[in-house]
Amino acid sequence: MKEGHKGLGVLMDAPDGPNAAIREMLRKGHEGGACDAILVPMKVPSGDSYMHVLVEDVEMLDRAAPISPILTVQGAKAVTSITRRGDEGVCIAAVMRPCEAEAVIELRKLFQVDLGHITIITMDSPGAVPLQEFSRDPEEGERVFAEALAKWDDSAMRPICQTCEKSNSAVGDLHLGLRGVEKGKILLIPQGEKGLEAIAKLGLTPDHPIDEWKQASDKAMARKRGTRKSSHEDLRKRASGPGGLLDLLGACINCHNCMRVCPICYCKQCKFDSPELRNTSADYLDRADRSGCLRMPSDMLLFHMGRMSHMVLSCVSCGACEDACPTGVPVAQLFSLVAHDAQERFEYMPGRSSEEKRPLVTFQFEEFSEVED
Amino acid sequence: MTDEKKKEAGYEHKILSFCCNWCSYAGADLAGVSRLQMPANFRTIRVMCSSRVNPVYVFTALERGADGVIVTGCHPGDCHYARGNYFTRRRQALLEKVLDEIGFDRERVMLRWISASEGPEFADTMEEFDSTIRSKGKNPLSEEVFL
Repeated sequence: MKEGHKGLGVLMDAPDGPNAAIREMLRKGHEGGACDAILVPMKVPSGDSYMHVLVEDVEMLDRAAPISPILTVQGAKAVTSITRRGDEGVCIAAVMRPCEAEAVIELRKLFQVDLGHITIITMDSPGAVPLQEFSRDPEEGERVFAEALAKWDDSAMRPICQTCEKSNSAVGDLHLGLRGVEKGKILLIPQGEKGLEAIAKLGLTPDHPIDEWKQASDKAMARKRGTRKSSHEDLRKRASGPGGLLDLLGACINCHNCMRVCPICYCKQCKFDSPELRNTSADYLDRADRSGCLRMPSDMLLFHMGRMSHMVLSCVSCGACEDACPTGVPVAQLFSLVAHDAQERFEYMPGRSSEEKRPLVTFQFEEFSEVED
Repeated sequence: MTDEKKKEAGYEHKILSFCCNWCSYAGADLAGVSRLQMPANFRTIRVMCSSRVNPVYVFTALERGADGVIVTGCHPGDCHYARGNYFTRRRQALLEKVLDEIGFDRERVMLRWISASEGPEFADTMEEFDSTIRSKGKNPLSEEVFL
């Protein structure tokens, strides 16, 4: 993490709730020349979803919802779509959840985004309402989320959010501390040079100690770590053995939605959609003969295991895959389980730093001697 | 042999070996021309470098019923491409972790360094891996239907 705040932030007034205060801050930033445009979630006109929009006209900011109740298109995908063809000098402030910002940093390492002029703004995330639940009843979804945000109770949020111990991570150049901060206030924490620069352009001086926020955050995250451990333990038991794993994935309908919405799966052509995996009927008959019969189309397990081995070290556990699964396979929880342990083995944390190399593109001469059996 | 006869003859396990072009494949060749005795249960795929073996290849072999997969390459420091096998080692570390997490027996997958001059070592390795896999028996995935 790129510190730089020297333990100080800016305490801002938020009498009308955090969303209004963040909108006000964005407006000031735009007017003060800190950014030319703002990428922020906004409610769609029909009222049943939220999408990231690129705001040029600050009047439109009134409709923005910086802390949105759901995660639809992953913010990292939105950032990629803007900067895929390179940085053109337009300063953009991008507002997103910590997990989305972590994915942005991973995509930078994969050369899919250019962060030259992007300032990322993250906030303590209370979690997100399961997408399908929200679609069924947006009003109820809004209510549930408002309650979760007010009480910091994530029990109605997505399972992956309940076990997320990075939901308060100050990933962005500016982080908005909400949890454990005085009522009616939010704490703006700058990180690194970009953050300090943005704060200066906002005409603010960091003068409020962040200790209180940090303590509250650490305490909450320690509790969530416990939840994560026990939930992973349960899942590991259920997944153990190929049979258990196949039971977990049993409802998969090969739609590959999980891959399509995954911010880390950026490849233009996925191996698992390619002709490489098309076999002759003789081959399928042969395999069917071995086990008596064979699921068709085949290679469902291979798809998940393969995708796992390709992206799991960069998996930020944002849960977009699980939200996109039409049959309710706990795919994000499964990937999060594998991701956690695999990342631990490589002492790697996706999104921790954009300078850090991804584990599979670097090595040390003396390491992992235990695998050379 | 007809299918019936195959079944009668009892189960013969299958091992897939990936050999790098510059060291291990030459090592395998040396074992062959030296007429060393080796189990005949393995099939070799020659790759230009052991780091060419994507974990997906190993999963594919296991999913399609291979009972064991062995990846072989040059010794660290001797890679024809200077650093390829260091990447292989990291890939193997990831592969093992993924197999562990999903509860698949990771001992069915092995990584070994075998140089071009190590014909006897190649034969010994194959003998050793063959007996490991023989004792483990059939790959449980080969009997699953809903793959």
